[in-house]
Amino acid sequence: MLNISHIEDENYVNGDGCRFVIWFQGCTLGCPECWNKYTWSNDAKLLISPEELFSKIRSNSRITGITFTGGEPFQQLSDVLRLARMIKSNTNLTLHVFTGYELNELVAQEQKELLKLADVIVSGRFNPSKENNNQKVSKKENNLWEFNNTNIEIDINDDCDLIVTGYPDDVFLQNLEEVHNAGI
Amino acid sequence: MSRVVKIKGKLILYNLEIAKQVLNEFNLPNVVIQDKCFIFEGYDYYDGRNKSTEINQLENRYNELYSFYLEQLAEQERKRIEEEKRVIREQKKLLILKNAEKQGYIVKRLIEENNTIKLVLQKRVY
Repeated sequence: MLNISHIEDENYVNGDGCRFVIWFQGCTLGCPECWNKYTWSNDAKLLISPEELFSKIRSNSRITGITFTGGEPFQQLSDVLRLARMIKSNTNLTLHVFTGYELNELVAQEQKELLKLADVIVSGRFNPSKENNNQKVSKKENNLWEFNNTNIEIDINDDCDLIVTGYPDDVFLQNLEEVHNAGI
Repeated sequence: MSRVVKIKGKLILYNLEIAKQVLNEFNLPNVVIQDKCFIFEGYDYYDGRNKSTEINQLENRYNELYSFYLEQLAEQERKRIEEEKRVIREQKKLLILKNAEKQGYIVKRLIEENNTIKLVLQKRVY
């Protein structure tokens, strides 16, 4: 079973076009400046089989791709790979994978298979003091995506709650919190 | 003096307007509304015959209209809440956009559908 932290079924800031984004739950890399520390714990959050998740993906006709992020996708490799195989064998969707590992750490057979299935890999320990947050982009030749880590998506849902994804800085988030608490 | 026959309905009539409407609709002699109930009040035993059945019919009709009335109320309340939320979403959107613009963002995409708003912002490049 896959342990999932969060899913956005239509998201525009985690790769090119409209994407089905999966934040996996669980990561032991412990990057000090990680934005998603709530995804570190390996405790079960949302458990779902790769087949069930694939069926959800198939039911959305508007998406152009899938993004694996986290948490650490490579730490649930067996099931993540099963899902990636289903995606790439049955659809034309592109696959982006965000990982905290460096590419030279991913040398096992299954790790290399996932790397091969992905159209885009964003790799490296997250570190805002380094250029591009130390995140290196590797793409298949025909992929034209340009990584822009200033993009922000804000979803105001039916109950007026805000869901923020992408790359907001602290000032932006602080302003957003003021909006949310402004009594409207 | 004849004996007084009283036949009281079992249903409590919470909405007297609807109860009066039902009463007018059926126009039964000697049936009135008293203590929030339909009640037959006659002066002879024979006048009371079949009155339980008739009061039952009144109550069924009342229930029918009262359920419809409650449904309408619920629908009005649902619409009111929906509109309230729509206004809040719109206010939040405008405030977020205003702040984002001040911080140098442009709107790359704005999607409003199914009671949700999606804003995709991108840092302006000079």
